[in-house]
Amino acid sequence: MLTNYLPIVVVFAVAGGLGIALLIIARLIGPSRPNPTKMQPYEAGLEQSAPPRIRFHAQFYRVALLFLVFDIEAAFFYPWAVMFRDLSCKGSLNAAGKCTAGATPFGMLVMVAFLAILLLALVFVWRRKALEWD
Amino acid sequence: MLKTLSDLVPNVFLAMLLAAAAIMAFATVNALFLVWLERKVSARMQRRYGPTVVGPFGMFQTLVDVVKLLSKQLISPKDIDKPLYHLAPIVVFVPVVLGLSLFPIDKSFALVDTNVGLVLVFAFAGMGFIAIFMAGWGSNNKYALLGAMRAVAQNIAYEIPLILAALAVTMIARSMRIADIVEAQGSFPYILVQPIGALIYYISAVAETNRAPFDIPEAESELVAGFHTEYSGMRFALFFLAEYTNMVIVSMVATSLFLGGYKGPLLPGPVWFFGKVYFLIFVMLWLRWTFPRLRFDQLMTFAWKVLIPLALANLLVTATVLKVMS
Repeated sequence: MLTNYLPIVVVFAVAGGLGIALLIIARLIGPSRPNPTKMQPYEAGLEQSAPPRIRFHAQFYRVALLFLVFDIEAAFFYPWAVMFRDLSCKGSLNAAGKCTAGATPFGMLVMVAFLAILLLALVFVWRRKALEWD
Repeated sequence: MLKTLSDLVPNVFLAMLLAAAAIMAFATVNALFLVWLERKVSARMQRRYGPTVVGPFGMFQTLVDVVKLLSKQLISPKDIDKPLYHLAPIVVFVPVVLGLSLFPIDKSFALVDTNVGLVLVFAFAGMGFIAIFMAGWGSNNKYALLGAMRAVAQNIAYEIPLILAALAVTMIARSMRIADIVEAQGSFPYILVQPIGALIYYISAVAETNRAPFDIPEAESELVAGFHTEYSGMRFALFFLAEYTNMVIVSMVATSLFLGGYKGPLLPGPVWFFGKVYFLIFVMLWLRWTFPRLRFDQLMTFAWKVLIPLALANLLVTATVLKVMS
């Protein structure tokens, strides 16, 4: 089972190695003649007017918080989405994906409850104008 | 039975090295080709010729460009955050190469076949955002930082509808293994049962690749080159390579989830697979020269107020229909 993932590790190592190798080659064959003007941060030809690491607009934090909520929600959807048709069936599904025993509303109910809470949250942040960008 | 490379070549280690080499070769050749294609397509759409001098139809122009980029000086501006600045090109490059290995290109062949393939694709895509922010923060440049912040805000906003659209497909196919999803699309592709999901996915995917009309993170008229303003030579080339490989990955996901992957009449599987992938990429190039760039507030509102509610509704409708049908 885990050997399935070994190729990913190898590709990871080879890709990283190639990236580093390319940069080293570039360093070896490229010239290196630094001078103070060349090392200046690019600012359309002017001297850097202010340190660039400024404070962010608070809006970005808001997006980050909303993202956390919705991305975790999406993570909870993963297992449900895979199992949804099994959860809607009392028995097991046959090869064609048809239910062999009676249907059950379990999968649907669980999800609708979860989704309703989230939609409520979305409506709330929408009404509070947290989605506006100014 | 789906074969992976480790089944075909007995020596496991040799097989994996071969796979890695194949993926690298594909990523490189593909990026060279796509850059050429982009230049040619954009030129034709603007009634120009594009590259014509080096090689037939100017095809070796990008190869020459790579040689140029390799032989350029690697400039590290002063006051950069050294570890972040130097690591970013590698961190942006590795996950996109990893993402390439996850797709079945034929009925009987995938390099890596796991039952959480779809999750892995999105996880690797997520690593790219970190690299973008590393580059922007490490560069000590205001354009780079602004570009990186916009890129991350945009990418995380569009990742949610992207995942939700893919989940609707998962519900029908009952699996996250990409090969299973392709196989589940018996005689018709899922775009017919999930047209809205496919549309949401494609729009979000174009936004994820930071391409026009969603190219606000690197809007050249306001932000110079966005998060890679301070990167030159080979470091810039790695960002470029990652960007074009990313286009291939999102198109591969779209092909596998909505267009039936390697399935199609007459021609062999890989031809269909890559045909569909490159068609989707061509549409991306086409979009770039058709639509003007959005404003940042329009972009964010579109994701949160249109795509996400739509994707949630799509999920709910899919669930209801599946429930009624079973």
